[in-house]
Amino acid sequence: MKEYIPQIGMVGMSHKTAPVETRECFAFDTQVLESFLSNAKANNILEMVYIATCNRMELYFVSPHIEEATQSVIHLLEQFAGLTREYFEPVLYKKYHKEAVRHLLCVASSLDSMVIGENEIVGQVKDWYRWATQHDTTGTILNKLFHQAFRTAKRIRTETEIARNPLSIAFIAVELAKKIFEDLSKQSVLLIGAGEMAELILKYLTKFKIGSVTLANRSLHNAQRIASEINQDATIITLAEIMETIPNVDIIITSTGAHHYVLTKDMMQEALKKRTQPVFLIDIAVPRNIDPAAGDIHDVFLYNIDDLKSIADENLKTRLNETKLAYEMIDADTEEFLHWYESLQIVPLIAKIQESFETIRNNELKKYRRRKLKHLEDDDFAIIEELTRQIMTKTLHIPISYLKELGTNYHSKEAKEKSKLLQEIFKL
Amino acid sequence: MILLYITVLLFIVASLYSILSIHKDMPKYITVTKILMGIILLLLLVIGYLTPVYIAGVYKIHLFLFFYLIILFLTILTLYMGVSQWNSDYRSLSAILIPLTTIVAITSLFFANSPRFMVIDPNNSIMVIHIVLALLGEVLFFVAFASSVLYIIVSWQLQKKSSMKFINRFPSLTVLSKLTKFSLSRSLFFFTAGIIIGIIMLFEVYGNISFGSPKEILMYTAWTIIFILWLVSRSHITSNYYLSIMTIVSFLILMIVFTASNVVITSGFHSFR
Repeated sequence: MKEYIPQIGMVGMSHKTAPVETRECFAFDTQVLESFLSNAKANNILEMVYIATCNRMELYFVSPHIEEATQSVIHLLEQFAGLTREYFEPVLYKKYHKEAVRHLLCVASSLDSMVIGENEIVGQVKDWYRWATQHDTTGTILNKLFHQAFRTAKRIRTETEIARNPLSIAFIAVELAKKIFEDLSKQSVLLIGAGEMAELILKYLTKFKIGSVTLANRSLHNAQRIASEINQDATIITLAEIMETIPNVDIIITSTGAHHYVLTKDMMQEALKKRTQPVFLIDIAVPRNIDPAAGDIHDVFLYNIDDLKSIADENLKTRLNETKLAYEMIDADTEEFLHWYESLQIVPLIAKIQESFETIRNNELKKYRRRKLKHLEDDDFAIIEELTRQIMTKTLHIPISYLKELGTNYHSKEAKEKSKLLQEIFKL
Repeated sequence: MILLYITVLLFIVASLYSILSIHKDMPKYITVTKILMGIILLLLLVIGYLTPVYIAGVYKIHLFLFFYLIILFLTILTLYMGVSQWNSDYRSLSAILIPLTTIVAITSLFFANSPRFMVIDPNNSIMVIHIVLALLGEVLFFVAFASSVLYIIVSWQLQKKSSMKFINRFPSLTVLSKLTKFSLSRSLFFFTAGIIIGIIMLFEVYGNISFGSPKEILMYTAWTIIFILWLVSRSHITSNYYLSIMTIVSFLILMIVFTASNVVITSGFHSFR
């Protein structure tokens, strides 16, 4: 009976196995993809979902003859990418059944991504799955599998630290600012000097709707350039005006080429005399622009480039530590899916029993219609037909419920023996 | 008494869950905490209903009832935070408020069978208003203390410059300082109103506005401290960090004095006999 159960398989390549020159050959546009999928259908592939991102190309499919289906898919890839099988087969991975299920769960949860914990992948998988459902290439098994993958991805995101702590220096600076200040739109920032990283932090702060921006630069031209690129409403001041501005700003980013401290502890103490709110100092410059002693003042939070880097390392470590927990969740969810999948194995047996009873019913009805019930009008005979159908449905209700229950535990030896016995009893 | 033990037990479980929600960062823990606090509130209301107050034509307020009211107000306040503007920071605020309320609840067990009581004239309802207002003032001072402790914790963590894993679970510094200032101003309001009502009551009943009892001295001291803290919070004299330190120290001193005086002074204080 097993040969009738469709199997799950996948083939694919990712940043881990194939260079971008190979991967890009399999990034099909939607028109090509439509033709690809209709060809796959003709090759006894019942369901299929194609996923393509900048880091991977994968095809998930369901077929009653999975080995043959895999060969058909590879043949189609050869045909549609215009490459020989020898060229791409070494970088292609093939996974079946449990491995294929587990792999999709890992991909959707970003555990297989270049940056573990990244946000984009689940959205991309969702988009491709939506495209497949719109083109009617999914069915019971892949629908269930992809929904399971989205659930697992959500669970991992909410129940682990995997995606919580940022890894980029600029983003860490903004996140720290948000831990000091409730609402960035009510805060003001002062950028002293210029520099790629400092400008990136300013860009992020602007993205989070920072209240006001002041730019202090030795060169007016540089300050104007930053203002035009990042914040047109920025106020431009000279370096000599810094001390008057500091008491009124909440975040100070320094990135000048000066070889001495632009801000010392005494200067900060003096400037903050009449201030009750905290101040966030980000010193991106090397050599440093802010005296480290300024960080000893209470409610002054000073971070230099090394501090931010060490937080990024720490955050990465946290993400990697959390992968163990994430894999445990994936294993549990894979088992849950396979449990459901196993229960499908009982479906053909149920269908055969129903079919067998239906054949007996139809044969007997035909026999009676020809002889003893030939005097009946069509309407009256239809009532008898309905009556026999009802009797059959009700008679089979309990055994079918029992079989469905058996299906939820189909992997057990006992369930297999029982279903075998039923097949023998009904001579199926 | 069994209900009280069950409530205290649930408080301990809720405290553990609220701390776990910070430690493990799992939303289900905070949901369990909220459900437990809801059950605790129901139990507290049942305890309040079953506690005899009106006995033989007079209102007898036992020492336990004061603890009960503080616990009740704190429970309502904690639940209110879960549905109000503070909801986004509920996880970290509850992780400090619930354990502290649990300490008060455990302490109340030692006074549950205390024979000490005060009598309220049934015709003098102003006394009840005085008690409720003063207790609300104390509860809000307690909240100011809790948010100040959180402020210091977050501030230290930010100074330490370690992983963001820990500080991500706490509210921002400005939210905490806002909560401290908010609680101090409301605490001062209720305390002031409670004292004024108390003075009116004393004058009506005894024709005098003060007896100089230990309770009165403590009440005026507490009011003065809260008033100074409120003035500091309104001015630019010091940073939020030092305001938090001042609030913590003041609260702890008052708590120690209050508890110690309740234990040591067994007569005259609060008119308890």
